Amino acid sequence: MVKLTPEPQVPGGLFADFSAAVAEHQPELAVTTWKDCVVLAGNLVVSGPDGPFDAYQIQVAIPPGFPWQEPVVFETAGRIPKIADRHVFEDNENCCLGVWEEWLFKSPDQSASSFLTGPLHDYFLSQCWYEATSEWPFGDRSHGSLGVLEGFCELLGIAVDRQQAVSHLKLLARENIKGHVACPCRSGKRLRNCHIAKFTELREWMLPFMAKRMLDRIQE
Amino acid sequence: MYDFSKQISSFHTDYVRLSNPQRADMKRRRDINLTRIENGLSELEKPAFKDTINQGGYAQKTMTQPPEADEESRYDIDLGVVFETDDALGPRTSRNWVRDAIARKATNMKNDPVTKKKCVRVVYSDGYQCDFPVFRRRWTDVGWKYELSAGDEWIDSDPRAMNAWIELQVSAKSPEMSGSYQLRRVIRLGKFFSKTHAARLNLSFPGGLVATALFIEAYTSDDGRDDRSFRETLRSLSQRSKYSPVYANGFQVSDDKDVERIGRLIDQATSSLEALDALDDDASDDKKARGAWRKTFKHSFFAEPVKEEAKAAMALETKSAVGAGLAVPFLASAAAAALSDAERTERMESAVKSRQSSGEGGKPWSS
Repeated sequence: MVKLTPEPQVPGGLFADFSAAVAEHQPELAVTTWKDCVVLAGNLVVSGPDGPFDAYQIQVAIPPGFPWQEPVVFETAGRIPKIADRHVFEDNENCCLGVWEEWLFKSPDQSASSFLTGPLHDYFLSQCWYEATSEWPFGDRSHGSLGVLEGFCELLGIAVDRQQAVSHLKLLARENIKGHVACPCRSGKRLRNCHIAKFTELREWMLPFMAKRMLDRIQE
Repeated sequence: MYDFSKQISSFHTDYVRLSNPQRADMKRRRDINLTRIENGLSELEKPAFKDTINQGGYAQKTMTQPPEADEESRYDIDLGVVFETDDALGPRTSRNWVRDAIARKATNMKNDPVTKKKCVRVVYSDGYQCDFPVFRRRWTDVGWKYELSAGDEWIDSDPRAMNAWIELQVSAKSPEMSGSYQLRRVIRLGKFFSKTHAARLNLSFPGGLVATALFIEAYTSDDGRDDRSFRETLRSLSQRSKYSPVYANGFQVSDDKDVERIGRLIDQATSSLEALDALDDDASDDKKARGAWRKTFKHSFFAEPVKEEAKAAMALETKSAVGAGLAVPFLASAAAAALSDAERTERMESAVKSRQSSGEGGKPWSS
């Protein structure tokens, strides 16, 4: 996992960063701006070690708060049915790439390049695979808040349990983790006598601002 | 007539004719549908089809790109599905097998597949429409005999003969030219013309086989001058009656509903001719020619050059943006579209394996 710090990750400017990343990884996308957002539009080419094999027409709005704010992605040619089972939000018909915090923590960096080659490309690669096999090649998350919870619990290294996740995140949201508090695993022991090593390790990369953000999300 | 043949030729190549990647995409879609039917029939424990027959514009190589004002509209695919006579049941039941097989396997349809009088129709959410006529065949002394499932009857039909007839017309009537045949280009320009004005007026115009047969009937050849050939073809068309039935290979292919559609095409041909005939004037120049052809095809290709350059610059930004990307010299997406199914599958499998082994593949989620 990557230790995330609250400073903006793209100090050089989103437009320049995405322009360079697009030129390198997805040259069939055009980069423009709309209001505060950087907009990518055109063909997203799906490829692998043997070369390109498919393309989707997409539009992506990168919000000014990237990477903390999640981009909004649309498949514009109507190839992907706009249904939850295909991982498309039915309200606005935008694509749901995954639980965003998972990418933030798991990606080696949170750059435009990592976004293009990571969750964005993976989503359309998964869609290609699903069209052919009706299966998600890398697995998928449950719909709704359960899917978010699954993602968070995986990050926290616990079984999928809302209460456990909340108590873990509440502890991690504190500036200082004291050993005398009750361990969130509900063993009845003090943290110092129970899972202190695990929380010390979690705290290495999950700072309070991220834990608070995740807590807010699952308590919505 | 002011010589605008080079521009008409470029227009045909870039905006009317389907590019190879687009044709490859059509082939891919056709193959996907076939697999769906094959697997669906097997799952439903119905007899397997024994043959398929390409029909329509795809088989006749007369498909066109969508008109500029109606880029959302896509192309149709016609593919005959053939059962052995011994396997097929009633005409309606056999069509329903195909409908059920598709409904079972397809996931991105706009509506459920419908059994029409002479085919099963599927409209996909991305605008493609596939028609599957259903045939039964039996071996006779003179070869395979085909019957089309039409309503509650099996009617004699020779689906490959129409393709052969069109091919013969194209090669026999076109002047000797290397490369492609003028009649085929004129049919494409004609179908594009018909589609363009249908979209502009939001009214039905002749399409498919009726349009193809009309332009074959009206075709006037002019070696090396596609512009003049197309104008004179419009003239022949404008002089026919909308009530005259349209024939192809000796069969009437138009019916009552086509009368008004043909009438609209005739009116449009007459109106475009007024503009094109002005190009006989000695004072004609590029600007006037562009105006007349723009009126005919309603396409920005014929816009003033300055505007065109500006558009080209803008297009560079938005070309991939709208995903048109199809007339661009080389694009990875075009290369991908031109892959065979086997190559595509192989590449996709290696892409997935590579991500799986890295352990980084993202899991999609939805609310």
